[in-house]
Amino acid sequence: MRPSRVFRLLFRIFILLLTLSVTVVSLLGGYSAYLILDPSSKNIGVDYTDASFDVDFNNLTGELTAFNFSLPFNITNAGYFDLKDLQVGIEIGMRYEHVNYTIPGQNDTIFIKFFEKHQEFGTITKGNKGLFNFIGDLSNIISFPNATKINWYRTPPPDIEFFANFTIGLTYSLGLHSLSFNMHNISIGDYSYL
Amino acid sequence: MGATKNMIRGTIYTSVYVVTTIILPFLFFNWVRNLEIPSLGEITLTQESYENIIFWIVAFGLIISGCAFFSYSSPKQSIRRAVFALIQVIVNCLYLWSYKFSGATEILFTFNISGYPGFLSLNLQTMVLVYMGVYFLTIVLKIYDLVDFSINRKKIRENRMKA
Repeated sequence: MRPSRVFRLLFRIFILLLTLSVTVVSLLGGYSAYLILDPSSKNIGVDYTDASFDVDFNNLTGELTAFNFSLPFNITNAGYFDLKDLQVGIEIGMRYEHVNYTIPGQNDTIFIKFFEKHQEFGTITKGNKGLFNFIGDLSNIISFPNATKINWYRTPPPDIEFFANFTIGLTYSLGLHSLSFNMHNISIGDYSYL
Repeated sequence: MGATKNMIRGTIYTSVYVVTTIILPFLFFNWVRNLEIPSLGEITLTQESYENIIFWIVAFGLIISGCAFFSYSSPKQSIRRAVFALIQVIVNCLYLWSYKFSGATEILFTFNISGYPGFLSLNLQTMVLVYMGVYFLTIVLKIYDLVDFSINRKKIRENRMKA
């Protein structure tokens, strides 16, 4: 065999190994995603019992004085690679009846987004379980309506309905795959004064 | 006899490329178009993404398969073969690149879990870029072949005559 063909053969083997490595990483990444997301494996859990949602108003001015939101959750990385850049974003909106003081009885139903936060949780190494707590407070409030403008006698109840958008983003397979999971307009609860 | 053998080889490789670059991706994207996962519900690939992806897969797949025929039906270590092999690898790169601009690397699925709608976005851009890096090395190899076949043309012919 000519020396140039021997050199070519070695280079060809190198390319083949490189292609096989990338393919194996991609296939294992896909299989890992299945292992993690499979609902029966319970690798993703949200602890609703420890979740809290507190809102407080000033009785005189109607201004929002306190807001705390916490949602503990855990993710077990059952796959073959580290799970990187885990990011959770939550947006909360509310639907209520805005009291029209100019024309009594002509109230408007309004939907506003009042809370938005994106929190980064870093990396979960392979085979490990990450315990996290998504926390939101008054600093994440975009704008909250004055309590005196909310119709607390809305019929039919409830007075306020809360909705949320969830976004979960992550990078996997040594950075080869990025995944983003979004759910919109999920009813998360309601509140009635009476 | 040698020409017939080359034509058969060209046809076989064309069939292989038709299957790997058109039929298999087509079947895969048809499968993920309406994917049903128990307990997660139906996951659907958006119509716009699907049409774009299929168009570019078929367009570049046909060019690759055509190049494969001319490349593999040419005599071994011939300049013609090296030229067509080089064109084929370059078109292969464009084929991979088409995955990026057709939206196939940012696959958008819609789903409905227990009445809650949402979408899942899978970004494979980095993976496609890594594969393109590997293809770049293949282009280097094909250029090397072309130079090698041109320089050693006489020796290759002599060996072919001996065989």
